[in-house]
Amino acid sequence: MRFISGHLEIKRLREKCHIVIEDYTKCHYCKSIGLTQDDTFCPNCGFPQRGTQTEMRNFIWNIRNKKLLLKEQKKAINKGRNILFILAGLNLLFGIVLIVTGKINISVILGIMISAVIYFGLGIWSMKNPFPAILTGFFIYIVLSVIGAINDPKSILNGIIIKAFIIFAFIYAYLGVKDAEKLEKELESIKKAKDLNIENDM
Amino acid sequence: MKTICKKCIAENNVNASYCHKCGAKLENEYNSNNSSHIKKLLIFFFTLVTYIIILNFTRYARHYYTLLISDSLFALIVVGFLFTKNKSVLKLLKIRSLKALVIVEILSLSVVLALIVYFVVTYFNQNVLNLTEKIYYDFYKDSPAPMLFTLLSTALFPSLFEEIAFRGIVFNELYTLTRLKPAIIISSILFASLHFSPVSWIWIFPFALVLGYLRARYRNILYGMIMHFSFNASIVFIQLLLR
Repeated sequence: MRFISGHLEIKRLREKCHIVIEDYTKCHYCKSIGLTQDDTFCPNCGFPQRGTQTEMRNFIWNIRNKKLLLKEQKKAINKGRNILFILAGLNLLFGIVLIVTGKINISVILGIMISAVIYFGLGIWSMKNPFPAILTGFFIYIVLSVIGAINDPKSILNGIIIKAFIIFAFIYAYLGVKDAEKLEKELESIKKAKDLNIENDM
Repeated sequence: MKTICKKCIAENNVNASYCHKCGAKLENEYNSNNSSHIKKLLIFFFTLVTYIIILNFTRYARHYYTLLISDSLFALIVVGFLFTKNKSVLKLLKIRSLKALVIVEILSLSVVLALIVYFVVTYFNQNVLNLTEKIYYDFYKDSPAPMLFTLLSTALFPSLFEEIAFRGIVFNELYTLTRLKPAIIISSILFASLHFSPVSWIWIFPFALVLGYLRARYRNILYGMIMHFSFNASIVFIQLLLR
């Protein structure tokens, strides 16, 4: 009995989600106009305008998945940005502590302050261009860690867990940011309805 | 103009994002495979970092010949990358497209920049950081031809191979991954950071931006090489004249 009611529920949902194409010259999904009889798929968003119900539903489902994926990627980008600001803050704090205690020479303090400014600048830049900013932040972090290790080889193991965490955070952010820009542009272009007749004239 | 779908070979309008026959995403600038470029960039970056670590731990700067060996090693790394994976950089070495007027402008600018950098950095080193000035010529005074070796090691080698490395290999990989301005900025940051002196980033970074701009504007790294050589050689001569 349960199976039958479940089966009926799916049937009811399918009927509810039934896509009816009334105008084949206008894309059902992105509302672009100017589609021809020859267009099985919408050239603007790829919607299967003359496809089966399953194909149409799969398309909508895929777009939903892509939107969810983009959300996850944006979370990773935010983490990468936070790491850049945290590094800027830590360097600034460390620099201030060194100035107050007067333990190390001025060139080291200046180097630390410059690093803080660079990380902060990259954090700001990542709001506009996350991919290059996070990639550069990663490179700078590696170079500064190596400089530290060259100056004081014993310092390699200092804060190794934090160092590993920062590197993993950069890799996580990089994996998110790698395709986010591409995906965001793809989803944005899908949102915009176009007059395909005008494009054909170009 | 038509775009051909790689999946079904159907002809599509040039502005179409998807194939109208099979629905496949059409190849464009955002659809290219980025992973291989990032991999190349990371391999090159970590190779250079490893090279610098080895140099620092082997105390390379003791004699003129160790400096020349380290320069040759760097040149070998760059040439190795150039001919194995980055042959497209060779297209940026266009001697015929060089313009005399631009070369004169670049030479003048590099001498002016060298003078500014020399006086500012010397004042800063002596009065703020309490550092003594390093005369490049002195590193090579025991060599058979001190001036020739100084210019070879501090001006010619860096101008040739650092330009191929940063404005050639790194810039090209970055330009496939991102836009022009970020490519100039990141290649400049990498160039400055791989000099391994955070205080020097203050003047190396703007200088690298100028070199990156020249590369982007003229699509030729020879202008950058000329400027880099002239700048480094000017520093050597200014040091000798004012010592």
